[in-house]
Amino acid sequence: MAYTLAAFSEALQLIFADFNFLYIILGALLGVVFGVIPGLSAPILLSLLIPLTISMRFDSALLLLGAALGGTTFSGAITSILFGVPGTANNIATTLDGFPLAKQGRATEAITAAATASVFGTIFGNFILLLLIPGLSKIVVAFGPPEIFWITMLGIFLISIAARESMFKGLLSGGIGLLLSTHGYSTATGLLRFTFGVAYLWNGFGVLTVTLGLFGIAEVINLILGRNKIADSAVDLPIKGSIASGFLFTAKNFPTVIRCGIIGMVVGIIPGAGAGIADTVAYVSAKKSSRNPESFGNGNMIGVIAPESSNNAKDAGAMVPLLAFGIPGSLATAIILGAFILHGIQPGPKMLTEYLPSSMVLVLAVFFSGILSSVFGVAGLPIWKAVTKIPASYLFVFVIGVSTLGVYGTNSNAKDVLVVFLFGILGYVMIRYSFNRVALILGLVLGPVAESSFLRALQISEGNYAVFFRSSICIALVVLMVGYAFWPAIKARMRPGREAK
Amino acid sequence: MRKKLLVCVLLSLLLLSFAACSQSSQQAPAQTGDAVGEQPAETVNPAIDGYPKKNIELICPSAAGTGFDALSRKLAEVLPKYLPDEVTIFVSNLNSGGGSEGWTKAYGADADGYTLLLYGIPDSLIAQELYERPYDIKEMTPLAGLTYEPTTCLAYIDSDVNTLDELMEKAKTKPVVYGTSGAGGSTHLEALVTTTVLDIPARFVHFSAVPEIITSFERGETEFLSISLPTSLMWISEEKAKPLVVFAKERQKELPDVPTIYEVEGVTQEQADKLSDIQQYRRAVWAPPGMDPELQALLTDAIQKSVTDPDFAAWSEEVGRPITFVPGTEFGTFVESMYDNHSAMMDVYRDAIVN
Repeated sequence: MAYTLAAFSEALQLIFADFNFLYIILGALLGVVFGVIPGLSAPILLSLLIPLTISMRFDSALLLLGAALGGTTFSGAITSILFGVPGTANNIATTLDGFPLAKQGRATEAITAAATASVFGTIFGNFILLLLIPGLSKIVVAFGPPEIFWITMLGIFLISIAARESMFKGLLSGGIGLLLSTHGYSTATGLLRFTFGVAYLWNGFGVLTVTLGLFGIAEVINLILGRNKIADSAVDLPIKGSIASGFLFTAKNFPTVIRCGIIGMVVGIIPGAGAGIADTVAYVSAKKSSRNPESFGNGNMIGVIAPESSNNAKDAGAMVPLLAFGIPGSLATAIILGAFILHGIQPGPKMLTEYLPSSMVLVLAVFFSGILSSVFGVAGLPIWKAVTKIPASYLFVFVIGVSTLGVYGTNSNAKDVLVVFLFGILGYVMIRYSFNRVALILGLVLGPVAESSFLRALQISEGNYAVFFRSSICIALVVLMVGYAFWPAIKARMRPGREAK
Repeated sequence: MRKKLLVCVLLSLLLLSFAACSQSSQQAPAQTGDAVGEQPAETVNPAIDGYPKKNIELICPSAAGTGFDALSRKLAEVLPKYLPDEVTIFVSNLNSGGGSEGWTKAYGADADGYTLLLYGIPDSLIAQELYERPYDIKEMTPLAGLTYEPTTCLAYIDSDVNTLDELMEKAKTKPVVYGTSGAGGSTHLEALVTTTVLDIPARFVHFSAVPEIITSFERGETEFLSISLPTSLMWISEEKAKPLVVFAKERQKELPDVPTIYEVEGVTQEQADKLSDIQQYRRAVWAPPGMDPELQALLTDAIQKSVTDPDFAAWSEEVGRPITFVPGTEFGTFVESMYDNHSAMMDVYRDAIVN
């Protein structure tokens, strides 16, 4: 513990020495820009920054990269709220109530509430992370394949109750996502599946490509074909008097923010399950515990603060496997690991011993950037207002251009561009027939994690299914899932009894 | 309506431009041999005349941030200094299809020195056979071997097994459990070679990365791991795992107290020869098939100078990946023998992955 505190103090001194804090400001600003623009995301920004950081001092590079990572998470909520297009995969659930709120003229309040929740989520997540650092490796060891399998099952199960539309359509959409996740190479079996001789499919469908197609391109097609009025996309943004109410709303709902922060931390720990899951699970949790669940999806402010608190705390959760064992929790943290390697540092257990001060620098960069980006997000309200006044037809070109370049820039693969448009068409069909696009993304993200955890668990137990109930974590997750399924019925049964009394 | 039309036109233009980009990368390999044959004897070899005139693409069939990526970027930084003209070398991470995308592009590119590739064997050689990939590494032009990484067998630090003898003894009562970083990946195939050649009953649990295997050690889910020597050093120094044996002809300076496979009782000379030949990893730089020998020699020489450059040497020391330079012409023979050794194991690999 003493060593942890010494490393923490060393990292803090470094951040405030010379002009080092400027790296955090720069990283947070870039993060906000890349988060706001649909198609640009933390992995793309980090990929662009890594070559620039090779010649920098390692700690300076970590400050810039950590700040860039922390900066994108909240800012993606701005586009989710204003245009109904998630700025990043972290903000998919924020769209569900953020966009309806913007349509009601409450965009300023929603953005401020989201920013405040993000700050709380960041502070909470990183505070817990700092407390956990001495025992991080034990936490990671506690989550083996059966535990990870149940967490993914919980996520997939929540798809059905997350659906605003019918449960059948929610499950069907999630099922399509699961099917899409089976394309390509499976590390658990070593086999190539459903590739049809097409090399592109060996790596499966990229989450970024599918998200941009289903949300960005699909919304544009929907507007071009006139299913929605163009006027609907341009939101009149009242500025006066709403900032304080957004802040106060979040402060009043502090317990929800903390509960969703815990959800984000736990989900962030699972490798590969961060983006899109932390926010959705928190959203569903908030909806289930609400006295007014039917208002969700129609502009309930809780539906904005729950995912935003969760996705910011998730960044801290993703640091747990990263720091304890060098296991990246997300694509963005995998790229940051690359920066460690490029600077001659092999990620792994040394990140908690020899390189602990550097690890602290990374954690603090994400922390300060998370706060700064929220401040930038609120300070930038006049700019966001101006953006909403841009004629929708210009925004179409912008969204198409940025989505296209965003997916092309990730892998330099022209086929990704074709695929993003194909998913755009699928997304339009899903909008038209009220299918759940979030559920599809969740299925796609969780499918490989669920499948490989399932197979690994059986490989460990030599086919004995009892392995899925081997620990108290497994049992707690199953109880939670059953509780979620039957709670409405139990609540309904209890209510008449109470009323009779 | 005009706005909708504008959007459609812009959209089509974007798609067309990307399609054009994609087409340009799929040209057929150049017939350099014919072109050289038609030149008058007194002229300078056109393959190296004025080379390099433009920037060079170094393909890395592995994702950004991996060890291959780091090595590629360091080489791209130092190599231009030793070329006749200092051009830029840019790294392209073409890792789709388990790296097939990068290999396919390099295989089909002109052998004019402007497309190079950095990756290792034997995993790519094995994948080419198992998955019938559209390229043949044996036909590529090897420019230089960069590393020699013998395989090490590790056990969990708290395991009651301390030597390979004890591992073989333990397996007689119950199959031992190896963790791998993916079915069909190098850690799986290396463990498979050991257990097949030494007839050790074993089971495999497939994770997706080495750190996950180490955490599974701590949960008691797996106990052993076959891994390249440089990667093993970190887990040994962190006291998460202990080395049982190195599959090499001589003891390695990084692990002087760890016996080689030749020193293990109960392992025949023939088995040890087979294991030390197969259980090693080599990173190398390649060019497309049919490169002019003079251009090949020029690039081999430049790579040799690069890896002995003080900056490069300091970097490789720092990241713990020492350079063992082998000229391209010698490395070609080595690729052939590596291919033959693994071909004999191909049915074992196929059965293990399918089952």
